[in-house]
Amino acid sequence: MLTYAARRAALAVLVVWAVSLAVFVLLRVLPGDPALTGLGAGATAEAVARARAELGLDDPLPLQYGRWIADLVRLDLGASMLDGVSVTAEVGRRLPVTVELLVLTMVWTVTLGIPAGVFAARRRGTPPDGAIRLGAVVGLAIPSFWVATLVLMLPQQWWGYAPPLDGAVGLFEDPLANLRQFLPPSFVLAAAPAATVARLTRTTLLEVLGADFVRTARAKGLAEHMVVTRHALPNAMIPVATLLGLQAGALLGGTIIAEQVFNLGGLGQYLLRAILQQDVAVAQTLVLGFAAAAVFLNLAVDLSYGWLDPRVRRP
Amino acid sequence: MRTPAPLWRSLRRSPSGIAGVTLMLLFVGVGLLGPVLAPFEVDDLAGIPGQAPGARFLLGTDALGRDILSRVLHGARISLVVAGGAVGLGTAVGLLVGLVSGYRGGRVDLLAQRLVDVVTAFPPLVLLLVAVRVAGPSAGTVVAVIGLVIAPGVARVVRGAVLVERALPYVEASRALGGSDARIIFRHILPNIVPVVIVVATTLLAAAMLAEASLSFLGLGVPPPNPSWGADVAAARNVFPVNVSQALFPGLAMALAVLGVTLLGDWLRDLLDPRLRSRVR
Repeated sequence: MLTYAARRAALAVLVVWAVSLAVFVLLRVLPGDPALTGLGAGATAEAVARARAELGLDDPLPLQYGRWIADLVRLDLGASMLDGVSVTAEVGRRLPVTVELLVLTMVWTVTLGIPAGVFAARRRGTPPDGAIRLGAVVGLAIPSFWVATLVLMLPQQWWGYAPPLDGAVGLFEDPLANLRQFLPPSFVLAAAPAATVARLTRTTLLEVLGADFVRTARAKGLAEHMVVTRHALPNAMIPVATLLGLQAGALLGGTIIAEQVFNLGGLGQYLLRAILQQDVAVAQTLVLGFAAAAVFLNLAVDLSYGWLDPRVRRP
Repeated sequence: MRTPAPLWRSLRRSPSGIAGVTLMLLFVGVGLLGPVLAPFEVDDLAGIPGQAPGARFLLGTDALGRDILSRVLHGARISLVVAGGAVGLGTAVGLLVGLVSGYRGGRVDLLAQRLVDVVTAFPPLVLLLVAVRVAGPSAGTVVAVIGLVIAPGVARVVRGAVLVERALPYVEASRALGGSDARIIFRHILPNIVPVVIVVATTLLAAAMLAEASLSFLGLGVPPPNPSWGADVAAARNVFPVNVSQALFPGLAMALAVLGVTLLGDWLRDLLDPRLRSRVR
């Protein structure tokens, strides 16, 4: 198990390194001169040359790459080319927003998706099962940006109520205001992953409920809820755990939309601004950060197999 | 592949399949004929801005006085063409990589799989945003970028299916008869994995449609004047006083189209994947 974990971790580090190369090369071929980003289009040739030299843009690419990675390792993320604000400080300020959004979304996903899937599986073929399956397909189909937009618009239309849209309040400053800001976007974001989780839970649970050991458990007279929660569910949850890891990774992209619509001022919104306004220094670091987060999330899920599934623990 | 008769019989027994096919036909029909059906041109400032749904403008007008119904009808084409093109490209690339990678194994396989790992390491939307920004937003680049982002998913599934097929006796038989690698791959293995590919491609069509709309919503999709459902919802956000119709209907059209594709995909999976059919119904 330990060698397996080490090998998986090494592979993850390798993938992140390859991602860093890909991101670096991608952003170097971005059309336009990043030196102009901070100066504006009317800059003199002289000022542009000075900015290029200052930003190290005239150095050979391998040297630029090496400097970026060396700075990253020392947790020096540089400064935004747009406003000169330290990226490290900005990330420190925005990270809690994105993390809270992600955590709440995953909480919704698990607390809605898994019980719905279990309920549907236990009542297969009945109207409640049909309703849950239909609801799950609808949850998959509705675009999150659309629901998010309507969640803001409809209360405004009906009651003239607009939620505060001027950046997030800290969870510890004012928990109530904070939750009022974070619950709607996290709920909206959770629709698609919760639907996926419900569908998979239903399918795998039905499969497991047909297995021999479940028949044995029933035959020895266990109550049905014990059969489901103690015998069937732990076995059915293994593929669901993989899915949750993948969903969390994909949600990192979804936070961009939710943060943008609800103006929460998280990392996703920072990344979007950097990409749209050609802030190469910020964009490359954040894209790498998002990808690395996704890779390590999936690694964590893979390694949790040993804990979830004792069969994997044996060499 | 099966003959059409069981296809029809299976469809008749599946209400969600019927709903999926109906919505899908509607979507494709509007995608092809939208501009003909639409009562107004896309950018025709035909009415007073912000009108509620009524007799002349069935779904109302947007903040510029354009007919929302016409925008929705025109928008279907962008969604259909971009998502369809992207899935076509992504499936072709993924199929080729998956076939070669799964059949050849060894170093080719290792290289292809690590490439797949790197592309799938990115949260999809993040990669899409960067790639479209780098390539410059146009219909062509959006198609190419979405296609290349979904290709690894296809490659992975195809590779898995090829690994299973490769071990079967019919492949060995063909090789014993002197069949070339190309012949074995394209004449023998490919037809056997077509059902898997169809199911994956349908699932990815829904994902590609949502990707196109999300990119447009964030301002990096197919550029105006092309009407995209995503961009129209985004435009509605900046309108005062609030004009719900302008956000509601393009998104609703999108949701119905994706719902159709998803239901169609579910039905196709039940129909085409015998492994799933024998297990859970």
